[in-house]
Parts: sequence; C-alpha cells; structure tokens
Amino acid sequence: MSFGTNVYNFTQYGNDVPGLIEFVRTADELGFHNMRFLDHVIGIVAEKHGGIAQTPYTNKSYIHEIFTLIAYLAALTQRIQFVTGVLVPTQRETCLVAKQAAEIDILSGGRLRLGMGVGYNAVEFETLGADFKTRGKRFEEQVAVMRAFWTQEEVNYKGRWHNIRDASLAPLPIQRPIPIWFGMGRMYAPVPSDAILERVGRLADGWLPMIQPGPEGRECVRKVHAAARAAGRDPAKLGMDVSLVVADKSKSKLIDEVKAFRELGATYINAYFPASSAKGEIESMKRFRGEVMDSFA
Amino acid sequence: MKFGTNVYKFTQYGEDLAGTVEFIKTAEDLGFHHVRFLDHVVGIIAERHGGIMQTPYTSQSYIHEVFTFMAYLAGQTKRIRFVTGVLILPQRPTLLVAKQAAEVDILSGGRLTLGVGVGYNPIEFRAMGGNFADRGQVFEEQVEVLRLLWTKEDVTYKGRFHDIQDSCLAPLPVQRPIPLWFGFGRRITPIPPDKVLRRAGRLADGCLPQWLPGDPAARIALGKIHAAAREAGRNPDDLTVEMSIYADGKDKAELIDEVKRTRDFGAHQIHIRWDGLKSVKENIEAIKRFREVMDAF
Repeated sequence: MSFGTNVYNFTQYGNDVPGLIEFVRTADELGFHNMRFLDHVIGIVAEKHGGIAQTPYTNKSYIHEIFTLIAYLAALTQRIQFVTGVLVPTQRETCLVAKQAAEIDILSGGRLRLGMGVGYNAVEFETLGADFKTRGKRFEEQVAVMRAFWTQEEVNYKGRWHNIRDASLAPLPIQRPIPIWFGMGRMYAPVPSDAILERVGRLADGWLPMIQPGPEGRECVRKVHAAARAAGRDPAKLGMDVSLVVADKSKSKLIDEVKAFRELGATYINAYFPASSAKGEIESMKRFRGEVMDSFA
Repeated sequence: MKFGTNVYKFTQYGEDLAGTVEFIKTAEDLGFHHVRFLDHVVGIIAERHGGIMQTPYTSQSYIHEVFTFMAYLAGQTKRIRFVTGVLILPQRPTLLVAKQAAEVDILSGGRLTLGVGVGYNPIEFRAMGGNFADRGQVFEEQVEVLRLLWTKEDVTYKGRFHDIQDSCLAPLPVQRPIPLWFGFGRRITPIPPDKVLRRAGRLADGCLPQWLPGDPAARIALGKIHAAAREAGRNPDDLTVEMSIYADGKDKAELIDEVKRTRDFGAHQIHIRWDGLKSVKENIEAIKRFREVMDAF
C-alpha cells in the first residue's frame, strides 16, 4: 500500500507559497508516495450565477495554476510523484495539455500521474469557451490524442474535435505514455454514473474514486472490472487511489479504514488532513506517517 | 542599459536540462537583466505541409513548453527576468494564458514579461483549434482580456471572441498588470505591415522588433509606432524598445560601438544573441566574454 496526500486545503491559507513548499518537501522527505493538486483555471463569482453545482472553491480561493505549480515544485523535490487530482482537460486545449504534461514529466524525471475528470461547473466551461454538453465524448478523444502525442514521433488524428496532421511533441515525455487516471464523484456524492465507471474500465490506467468500503463501493469496483474485461483488459492492472479522511480519528480506526480500503481493492491511499495551516498540516502529516504509514511499511 | 540573452539555440542541443539551467544561472550571476524563451506547442513535420513559412524550428527541435519551463526555473533563480520571445498568443486559450502567466509571476516574485505575437504557422494553429484567419483581431481582444484579469477582482467582458461573466483570477499576479510586449517581423523581413506597427503603438507596453539600427526603414517604422501611441493618447517614451545585436565574430570595441548605435536609435534594452554557437558550453563562454561589454555601460 502506498500513501499520498494533497494540497487542497491550501486554497484557504492565502498567499503562503513558502508554507506550501515546506509541506510538499516534508512529504517528499517523509516518504509519501505522491501529492495531489487541484485544477481551476478561473474563479466564478458564485453568488452572481444561479444554479451552479456546489463547490468548496470560490472566487476567493487561492488556487495555484496546476501545471506551472507542479513544474516549480519539480525543481525543489526528489522523489515524490505529482498527481493532478483532477485536471479538467475538457476545459483546456488538448495539444497544450499533452505538451505541458510532457514538460513536467521531463522536468521531474518521470514523476507525473495525470488524474483527469470531465468537470462539473457549466459556468466555468462557458467562461473558458468550452462546450459543457459534449464533455464526456470530447474527453475520450482527448485521451486518445494525448496518448498518441506521448508515444509517437508523428501524429495524425482526425476526430470530431481534433484535426491534427503530421505533428509531434519534441521532446517526448520520459513515461511513454504518462499514466492517465480518471477522477470522479465527490465526498458527499461518491457513487458516479455507470457511464463513468464503464469509461474507467475501458480507457483508464487507474482511477481516483471517492467511494468508501461497503456494498456501494464494491458495486462500483465490480462495474469497473466488468467494463475492463469487456474491453479485453486485465482489471488487476487498474490502479485505484482512494481518499481517506483523517479528521481526528484514532490510530486504530485509521488502520482499520486503510485495511478495509485494501480489501476493496485500493492500491493507493490519499490522506486528507484537517484544514488548519501549513504548519498544522505538516504536524498532521508527521503524525500520520508514524501512526499509520509505518504500520503498512 | 539593460542586457538580455536567450535560450533559442538550445533547441538544437538535445536533452541537456542541467546545462540549460546552468546557462541561465550563469547569466543571472553575470548581471543579465533577462532571458528570452521561445514558444511552440507542437512541432510540425514541415516537409509534409506545403506553403508554410520557413522557420529554424522543426519537428525535431527540442522545445521546452514555455510556461512550465519558466515556472521550473523560478525557484532556482533570484533576480533574472523571464521574457517570452514570443508567445504565440492567439493559438492559446486566453484565460489559461492569463492564469499561467499570473502563476509564473507569483512564483518568480514578479519577474515575468510576456512577449506576445500573432504567429505565422497555420498548421500549428489548426492542430490547436486556433483561428488563424482572424488572429490579429483575436490577439487585440486577448490583450484587453488579459489586462482585465490581471487587475480586477470581478471581470465581465463580451467581445467577438470572448464571453466572460463575473469571473476572476485568484490570486492576482504580483505585477498588475504583467507587462505585455509585442514581437513582430522576421530577421529576413524585419519591417511588419503598418497595422502591426499601429497596434503596438496603441496597445503594447514594449516591443521586440527584429530590425537593426542601420536600416532606414526601421527609423520610419519606429516613427509609426510612436505616432500611433500619440494618437491613442499615450506617451511614446513609455513604450520600451528592445533590439537585438548579433555578436558572432565581433570584438569588444565593435560590440560597444554597436550597443551605442542601437541605444542612439532608441533602444532601451539590448538582446544579445549568437548564431554560430554549437553547445551549452559555448553559450556559457559567450555570455561570460560579453560581460566586459556590459561593464562598459
């Protein structure tokens, strides 16, 4: 079992770049396998837009741009893997996503895992000039185009949304291709639609679900595995990176939850520490390392 | 007089990330004011595409993605400024440019100058879903939108190519706004059309022409930029001009003389470049030798 954490709470801490760097470097030194980052290009003044999905991130959230922040941190860390958790490629231009991901992979020595989701905020899409309704189908084309760019020296692709002739990325990334994991669901609504689960089994290298151990979670895993088999793929090769809310749970409770996730099929655990400050989160991380991670070493 | 250099030739040296970083750190230590980076997202296999303009950059050129690469360098340098020379603005989505430029500006402590141009390669535009035919008009709107996003906490803008309602970047960049410099012309045809000159006079914070001080047409072109600035109610003296000097085979006295002539022409900054250098090592030696020219100013 490998453990990671995330910088999601840092959107609440304002302009604390040194604190953020210290948090990520400490995770690197403590042996955390990976660090997740979130993606919002534009803030929406939510109270002026009716009917948009609930989100913990507002126009006041301090959100670093995901690719440039990861590139910056690549120079300041040695081992930790960077995970986009999740990037919304349907709001971005595909060639540019492929190029920037490849660049980060090179700058970090192959330490990128690209978590991607279809997005949920229609206002963001409209503002960014992206079509919300077709995002699922477009996402699938984007995955195909990116994998072509990361593995071939000459790309030709004609799809519904892409028209690429005799083009290439130079340099190619270190990982050919960069692993693509699909993210889905929310903490309060963790069970995604069947279409999304089917897409994971058919196309993803792994997934980042918000599901919990239990009958609902098991049913999701079953559907993903069935879709993988239907596509002629081996379900055992699909990675599964789940979210563990640490809160103020005891050591034994956390260990039990990790074991339950392992039984569900998880290969990675992402630890969510309580929001406090960079300093507070570093303390939580050190405690988690001693109490929980070392039990699974 | 401020001096800058570039990493353009590094596209021919293949994979030498450590060497590139060493070159930029050396330039910083020597007192160079800035370094320029180039932008191409996808390489085009030129021989397969008829009728596109000749360029020194091919599908084999080793091109770092400009924003992620500058972010990577931001944490490893202290003073040197980063200049995109130039970013092909209309082939990228505006809001992402705004967000990524702001992030680089924050991570570098306000050391970004965004050099921007309209681009010339229709194949690259098509691969990225860009609007090549209208790129001049797209560019003008983009300049307006970028400046709004870098200075205002609630942006609403309706144009021909943008529809933004109550949206914002959080955090805002350190420089509000980030300076926008317009690049134009090519070395073999350095004088651009009048509309490009007028656009620079109307809208740019600075410009990066390709012309040389001995060219009488350059004098006229600069006059047109200044006239357009005055017509737009701006002070032409506020428009920074950076010109290039090709240093190959020239001794100290010749270079000092050329810097003086370039300054007397109206340049505020000098971009020093060499055509014949064959390696990272030769580039580092060249900027070290050039230091004695800089010391004369």
